[in-house]
Amino acid sequence: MKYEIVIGLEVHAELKTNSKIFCGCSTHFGAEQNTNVCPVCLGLPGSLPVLNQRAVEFAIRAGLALNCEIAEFSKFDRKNYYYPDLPKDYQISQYDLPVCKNGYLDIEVNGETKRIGITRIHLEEDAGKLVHPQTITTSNYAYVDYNRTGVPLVEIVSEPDIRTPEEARAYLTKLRSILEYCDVSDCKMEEGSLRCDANISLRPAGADYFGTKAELKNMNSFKAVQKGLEYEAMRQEDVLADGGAIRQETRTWDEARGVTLSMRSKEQAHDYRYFPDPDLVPLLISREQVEEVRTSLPELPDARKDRLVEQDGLSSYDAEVITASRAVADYYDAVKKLVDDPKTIANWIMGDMMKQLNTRGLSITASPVTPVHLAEMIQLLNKGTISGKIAKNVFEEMFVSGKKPAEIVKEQGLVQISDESAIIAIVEQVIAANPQSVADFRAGKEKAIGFLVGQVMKQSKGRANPEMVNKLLKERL
Amino acid sequence: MAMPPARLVVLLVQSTLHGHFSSGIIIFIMVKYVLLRKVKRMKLTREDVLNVALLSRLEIRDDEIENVTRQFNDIMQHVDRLNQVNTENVRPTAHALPVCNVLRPDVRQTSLPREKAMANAPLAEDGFFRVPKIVEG
Repeated sequence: MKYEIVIGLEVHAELKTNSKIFCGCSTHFGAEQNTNVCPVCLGLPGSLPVLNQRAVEFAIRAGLALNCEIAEFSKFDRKNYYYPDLPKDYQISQYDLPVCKNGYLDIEVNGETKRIGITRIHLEEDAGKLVHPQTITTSNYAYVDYNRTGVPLVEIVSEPDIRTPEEARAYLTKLRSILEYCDVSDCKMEEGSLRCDANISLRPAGADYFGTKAELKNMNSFKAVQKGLEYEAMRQEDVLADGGAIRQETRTWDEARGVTLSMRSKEQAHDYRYFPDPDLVPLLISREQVEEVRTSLPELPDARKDRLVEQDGLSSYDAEVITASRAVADYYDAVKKLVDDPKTIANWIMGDMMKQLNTRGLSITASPVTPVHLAEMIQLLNKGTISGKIAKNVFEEMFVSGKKPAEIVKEQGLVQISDESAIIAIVEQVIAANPQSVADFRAGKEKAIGFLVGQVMKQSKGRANPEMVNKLLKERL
Repeated sequence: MAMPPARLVVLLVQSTLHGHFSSGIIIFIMVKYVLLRKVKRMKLTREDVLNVALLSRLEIRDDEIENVTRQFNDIMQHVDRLNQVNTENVRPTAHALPVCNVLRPDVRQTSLPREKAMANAPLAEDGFFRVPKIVEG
């Protein structure tokens, strides 16, 4: 039988507030264990939570960026369960009246645009961090750090609209991009500020019901989400093909072994017993406030991409790459203000810039090559002062030294030679020194000219204007 | 255990507001346990009681079960009576107090010194709380 995969994603994003959602403890990542804690986030008796207004604003902002309806009336509920990362034995979350609902985002997979629904976005507090001396299944005990307890989260729940692991990855990439644009979350998976759980089930192709799902956890990168889902889809298909039944359960992705494993929790009775948190009063969100947040939203990735395609004439692919990260898009815009050559700017950013940043593990905001430097370099290139080949060296030098391009060109004598007489001198020297290649070319071996051009470029240390070299060589052969 | 419905609601609100979780929460749990199932309520059994006890992490001795089961059923009878009230045009209560939008500015405040935060930890090591094995391998 042919099966169809059905995937829904639950993404938790930590909001980048200064303080926690219900107390004044710092949200700073990387503090020493159990130092950003207080009676409220530790759940000590007699303490009372008070909602952080910026967390609410960020949730509204994320909701608007994801085309959601913003609730006029919202409240907080207690989700009761026992786990050592949860000091109160309940998590303050939102049950039936989340801040946002009914949104969507558009993804592009294999050249086709697809709309993925967003069921809801709710605010909640993060749990603490468990540190396992070995692995989660083999350790006899765990260490708990409650610094993260109470850090504000939005949980973004998608509709089960995703049909392939690849679409899941595209959804996550787009979601991260949007959250990053609206500046509500750092979205760093490696620091746990963005986490993803996936619900996946199979059903006979074309069926209108859902199969039994498994929940997948502990995927630490978008790639891991894709790989975990690919494995799980395969596993479920095998079970079903053998006439077996899928067990509704939570499974963990084992990155090292490339498999998903059943996670049997000691807490057998899953019943969260949500009820309104009597410690927190309801939230009324005025339409004025919503409009205020809406006007403060920046241009979002899709709009920005369209602008780069329509106004700057970039290809859809280039525009997608440039706008995937707001920082990169901002960099592009900054260069473009100085030199109106969109395609060249895009090429340099997507090529040499990305390569250098990736090698050094830097983000573009930390690039030693500023937009001003790149713009100046492109101007030197366009004026013919330096050749494309030399420009690559200049770029690398700028990246290493942080110097201005004109300075590097001057210091290292990299100015392109476009003086005809100077090039003729080298051309004639090369012709004299390579009689065999000259003879080959004259005998009809067109390719031989490539060698001769190379020799001229070598002699000029790459500075000769390549077009002129070609022209002058041909004239003399 | 005869208790009029109004008294039950007052108890619910008071006990949760004042942090007397044991009484407030267990009544919540019982009510939720039954109401969420959306079936016509049957008489609660010994198993229901044991399940609620597990969810609440309460130890009920064998010789207490019978009595507790009877008390549960008494309380649920009152809930049944509450359910008979026509609430068609009544907005669900999100909070007992007529107050909304209590918010604080996003400002950091001093946290507890770690020694104080961990003073009551049964087990601790290197500034971490230490807890027993969590997941069955």
